[in-house]
Amino acid sequence: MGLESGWASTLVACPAILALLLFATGVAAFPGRPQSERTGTALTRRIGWVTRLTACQAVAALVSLTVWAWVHFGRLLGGTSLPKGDVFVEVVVAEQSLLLYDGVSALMLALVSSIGWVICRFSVRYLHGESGQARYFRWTAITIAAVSWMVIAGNLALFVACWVMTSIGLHHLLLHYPERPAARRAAWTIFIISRFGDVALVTASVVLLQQFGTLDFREMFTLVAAWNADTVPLAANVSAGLLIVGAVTKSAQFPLHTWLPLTMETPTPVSALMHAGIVNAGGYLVIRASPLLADAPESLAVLAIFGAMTLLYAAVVMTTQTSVKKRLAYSTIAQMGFMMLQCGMGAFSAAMLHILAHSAYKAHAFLGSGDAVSDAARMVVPDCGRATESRVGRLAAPARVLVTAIVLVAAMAGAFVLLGIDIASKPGGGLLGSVVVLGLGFWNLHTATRFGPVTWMQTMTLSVALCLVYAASFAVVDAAVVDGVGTLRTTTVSFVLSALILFAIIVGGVLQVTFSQALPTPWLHEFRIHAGNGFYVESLIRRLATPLHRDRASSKPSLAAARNDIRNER
Amino acid sequence: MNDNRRDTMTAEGSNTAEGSNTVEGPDTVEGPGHRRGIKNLLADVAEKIAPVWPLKDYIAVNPFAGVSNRKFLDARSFLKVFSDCETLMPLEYYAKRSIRHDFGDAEILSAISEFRYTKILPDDSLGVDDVIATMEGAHVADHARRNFDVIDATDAASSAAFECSTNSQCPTNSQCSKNSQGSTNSRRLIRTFAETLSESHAIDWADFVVDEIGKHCAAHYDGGQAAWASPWKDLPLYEFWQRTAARDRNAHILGLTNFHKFVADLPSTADAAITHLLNRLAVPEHLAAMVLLCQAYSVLGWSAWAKYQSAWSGDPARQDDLAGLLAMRLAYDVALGERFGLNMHWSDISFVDAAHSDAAVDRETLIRLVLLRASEISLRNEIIASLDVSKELPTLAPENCDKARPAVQMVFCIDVRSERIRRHLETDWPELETFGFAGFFGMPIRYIPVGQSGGTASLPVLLQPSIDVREGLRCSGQPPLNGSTHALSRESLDDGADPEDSIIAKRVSIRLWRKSWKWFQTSVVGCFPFVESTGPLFAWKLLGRSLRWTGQTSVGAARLDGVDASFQSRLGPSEETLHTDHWPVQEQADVAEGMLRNLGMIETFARLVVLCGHASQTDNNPLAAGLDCGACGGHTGEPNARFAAMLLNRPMVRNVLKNRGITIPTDCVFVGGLHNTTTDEVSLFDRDHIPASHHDDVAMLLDRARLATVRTRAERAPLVGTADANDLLRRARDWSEVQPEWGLAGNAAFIVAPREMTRHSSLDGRSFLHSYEHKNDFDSSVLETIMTAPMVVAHWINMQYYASTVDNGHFGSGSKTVHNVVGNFGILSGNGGDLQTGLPLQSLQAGGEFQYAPMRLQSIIAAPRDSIQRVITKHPLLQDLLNGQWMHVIAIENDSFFQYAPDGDWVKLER
Repeated sequence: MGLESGWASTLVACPAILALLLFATGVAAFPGRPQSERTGTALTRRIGWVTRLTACQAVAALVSLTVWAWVHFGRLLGGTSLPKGDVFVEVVVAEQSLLLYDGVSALMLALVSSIGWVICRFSVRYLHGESGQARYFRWTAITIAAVSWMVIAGNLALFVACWVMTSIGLHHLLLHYPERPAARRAAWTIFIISRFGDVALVTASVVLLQQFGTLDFREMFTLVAAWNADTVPLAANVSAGLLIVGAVTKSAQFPLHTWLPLTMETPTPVSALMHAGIVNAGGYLVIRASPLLADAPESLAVLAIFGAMTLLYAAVVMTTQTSVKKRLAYSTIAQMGFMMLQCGMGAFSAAMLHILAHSAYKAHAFLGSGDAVSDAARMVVPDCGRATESRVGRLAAPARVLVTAIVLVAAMAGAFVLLGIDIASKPGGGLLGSVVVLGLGFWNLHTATRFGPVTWMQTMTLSVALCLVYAASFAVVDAAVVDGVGTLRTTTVSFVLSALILFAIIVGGVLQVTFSQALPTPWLHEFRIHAGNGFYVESLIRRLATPLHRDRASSKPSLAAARNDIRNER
Repeated sequence: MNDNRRDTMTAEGSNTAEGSNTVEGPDTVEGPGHRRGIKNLLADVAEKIAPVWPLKDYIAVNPFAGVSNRKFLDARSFLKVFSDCETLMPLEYYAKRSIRHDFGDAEILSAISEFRYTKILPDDSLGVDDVIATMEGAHVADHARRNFDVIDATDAASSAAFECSTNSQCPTNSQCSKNSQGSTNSRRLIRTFAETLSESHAIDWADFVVDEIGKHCAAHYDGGQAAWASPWKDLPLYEFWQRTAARDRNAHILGLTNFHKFVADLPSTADAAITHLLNRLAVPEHLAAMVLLCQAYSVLGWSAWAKYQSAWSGDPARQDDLAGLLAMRLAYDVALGERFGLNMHWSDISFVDAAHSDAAVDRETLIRLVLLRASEISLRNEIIASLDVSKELPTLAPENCDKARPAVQMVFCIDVRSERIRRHLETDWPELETFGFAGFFGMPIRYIPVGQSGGTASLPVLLQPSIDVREGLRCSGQPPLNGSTHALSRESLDDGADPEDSIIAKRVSIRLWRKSWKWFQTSVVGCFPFVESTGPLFAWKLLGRSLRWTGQTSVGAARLDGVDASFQSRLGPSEETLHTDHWPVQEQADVAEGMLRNLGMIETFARLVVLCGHASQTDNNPLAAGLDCGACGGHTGEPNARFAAMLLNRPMVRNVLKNRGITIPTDCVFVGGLHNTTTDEVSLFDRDHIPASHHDDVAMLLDRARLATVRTRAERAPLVGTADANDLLRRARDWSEVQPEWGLAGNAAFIVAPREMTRHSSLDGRSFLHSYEHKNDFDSSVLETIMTAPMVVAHWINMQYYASTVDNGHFGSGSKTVHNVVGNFGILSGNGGDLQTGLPLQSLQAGGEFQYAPMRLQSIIAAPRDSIQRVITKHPLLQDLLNGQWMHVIAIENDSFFQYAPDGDWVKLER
């Protein structure tokens, strides 16, 4: 149901206006060439404004979310007499829906605003004294504002506009140190990929406009809901495909991911903003537009395949990376793959939960990446053997596997039953539940074989708890967003697909178990070397693109050239 | 190890090449059998490369250590032959400083006359006016360029890094990146093929080679970042690389076709590969060392790391790693040359060794050197004017200056950061006497944490640890003087179980658990459920750390894993080391005596003597160890201070000392303490071991120390750009802080003198202060120790700051904002590439203003010239440093100051 009274629209209007202010501050407070206030009190003051604005926006977004959740869950739990249906707020300007505030955008706005505040607060000291700090805050403010408006956009046109703005903001942030060649390479790669994404989205918009006569999300959703499976027009499939292409370009899906690991040439908080905020935009687009996509299961199946490929690829590459930030970058790619897999399977609520959880995790991981050295010290296990746990448990290996499997499957199933989640009715539920159980299972197996029975029991207990936490988080997020997302019909294809993907994921897990045990398998060593290079995707693309783009602006005649005789023998 | 820096110092041509030695053509190339002993060649090259320590023991290293047997300017010329390293600040920098009256015409004149005297300046070619005109010309040109930038440049060009073109406040050498704005090094004779190719190719091969080497080194030395480690990590670097690179297709794909086959066909040892590759390049023998140096300096950071592995890690499997690195680097270059048809015409390289070509130094370089010297002279004059040398007058001979016994004596580390807190402590409380001493307090210990079999050396890297000190729980105090009973004995705790065992058990389970959790977090399948189920936890952590409710305080936290709160203050150096079964009391007394004599504390002992080590407190800072005590190998000074106090409180030791002429009164109590250099708090350890009779002294001291803390903070606050002294406390706990403290950025002088001389001068945290009484040092042995150990360490620290400032691209570590911890041992800048070795920009400057003023160390020693000269003559290292002007020595003798000039020439300074 639409909440239409005046107070309701403040829920979204408040944070939206704050975001707009943030945008304006970003543009106005840090003029293009801030020579005079590069450092000193004027700059400090302006940075203070921006940070406080993001704090206000974060508080406003969280308050709005709380109010919205109170109304929504109040209705859901039958506490109020409100009519059935989705709880949402629309801000309509000139008969066009400008802003849409429902479960999906409420959660996302709270996330983006909070992360925005964390990033700004972090950057006050982190970039202190840099001549580029003013420019940095300018583009950070603009980017955070653009993402904020993107998530609450009520129509696709505004969404796409903010999407493009975000990408431009990101481009400037990636070029924070423009003299670094790898920074330029990364920025321009994503710039080009993004423009393909833009074209896809604009084309999709045109097709959708043709079809529905409107780009308002809710109006389109209502029209789509009237269709039945047989009357889905071809254009719907085309637009769905284009939206998915747009999403894939944004979320670093294989093989368009190569720019992401190259972005460590820009300050750490930019990485945090990017990994916790901007790369999620692709997933968010799919979730937001999911009612339009639900009728194009083929496109979603393709998305799922891409997602699965990405997650497998990046998860394996991640395990070979030797620097903190690169490892985190490949971890993000893998997580984005998982998110897209969830979307492709139609598990939009699960994808939403994933975005929220992953953003918090990754923002913290990047900002705290300087802890690496002290973290290593915190993992040095005393080796004098006076009191180490006995490593050999009483149970034989197969028995351990069996016990672990039974406990975890029971825990996951129990958690779902307890929380009233009917896994069979949820698209992709079986697959995703299995991934959780598998992930925990491999972990338990690792502890069971490596550490003593005490640690193993602790691991198992915690695993059961994590199953519950996961199921509970899922239940909450699902209840919050379920009305705003599309429902995919479960088909035979999706079963086959699930089975294949599950198999692939098991292979990945087994691979890790194998290399953890360091068996002398020559092909595995060779495989590891290729994995360490990200299977050369970046180098291949770079090689193909090199004739088009020179790393060096010009080739200067040099002393060396004069002194060393350079003969090109060909 | 510092010895072998010298022994084979004669590089190609340096001492052998008298006069002109323009070298003849390629017919001097000899076959593989004739190539000069490869081991000698590699030794020559190795000693010109300075090492870098892993982050957990990060200590200051002089990047010029390998070339400091040459004179300052010669070393510069030498480096310029095969690299683009910079050793002097640009003219613009001095123009800025001169505008701020940091030095004036008088100092420039002094510098010029000094250089004429020492024959650095040949004749009357340069006058003060020339220097000023050149400097101001550069300043004007610089200004014009900047203004032009302002009008014209695009956003991209304007922002060429943090400290570069847009930054009008601190001109630096183009240090933002090594390859920007092509340096104009007219002396460069030898280049890598990769560098040459980079100038005409779309792919920057020089960067590519550094990236590849970085990738392989990171995989080889990884300390736990990658869950899937290479199976060949235990092999020597070269063998590891050969196996890996023979399978790696990256170079092949990027255009260095069939590089993996090239690698597979190379000889299987590093030495053989280098010989083979040098022959393949037809490098004439006299240039081989230079060619290898050129290769090494093109990946200076990884070379430094390999040097550490070879020479300092003590692992015999790694002693050839530097050779391995050179072989790797050379292999890429040879492959590139062959792939793209490059040839070197070695006969065209007429190489006259820099050591004999002073005249060739260009005018601008000389002017920059004059300006450097002028700024040093300015500081020197300032310092010597502030010293109170009247105390040196013979009227205050030891026998008639029976000083009143001070209330408290505190021994601090010589670290420049101690100077402020010492001054404030003494000013406030004249009965308190402070000393300066190397912060390991003469305790050559290896500190072994509870439950570990190995430990960390907690002493200057120039020395070897000789005492293994286990960490353990000390018995609760049993005050000897009032005879009260055992408060808690070890056995009475924990139902008869040894509490240390229970700590170990808990620690094992905590840390195994962390490892397991980390595995879950980073595993192929586990990472997905990990993120989904624990995400909310991280939202909470983000909030907590952003609002600074919580922090992961770097070092201390891990040390206390598994230790109950009630035991934490008791965890420290264990008493078992001092058991005479393990360590005879005579030897214990040797260590104690050595310490007291070197410190000069042999007559007067206060009731309370505090040995105050120091440590920093930062969060989220991979370079944290760099802020800790360098004299303790980049660790906290806590174990040394506590151990020394324990040793000196032993009645048995005191008895032996008494027989050796050092009488420590029975009411004298030694206490270990810690100075937190970030917050300037002073704390004491093992307070329950202090007898009740001394509790009032301790209370009094802590009271005064709190006041000194507040005053020191107030003095430091403006330096970090804040009006609020409490901001310093925030910095210690803020995970986003890049300037938690200034570290040793103030360092410029090293004063070896009784405290009375410096007590009344405010040295602004610019000076290392070492206590020294010449009158007690009959045979100058203490002086010798000071000049060869702490002074050399101070020089290393000084040179680390100097080099990081003049050429951050080669010797520093760039901006902290793009730091990326690699393998848990080092820092990369951004995606990958070279290992970063020196100080980050944030430790040197803020808002474009340098906190550190690049100057060579000025050592001011209160001792007769003869004594100092004897020490210098005895130690070739000191001769090199002083004659080469890597540092300066000033003697204080009979109320007068004498500047050391090369070859034992002492010049009297007018005050």
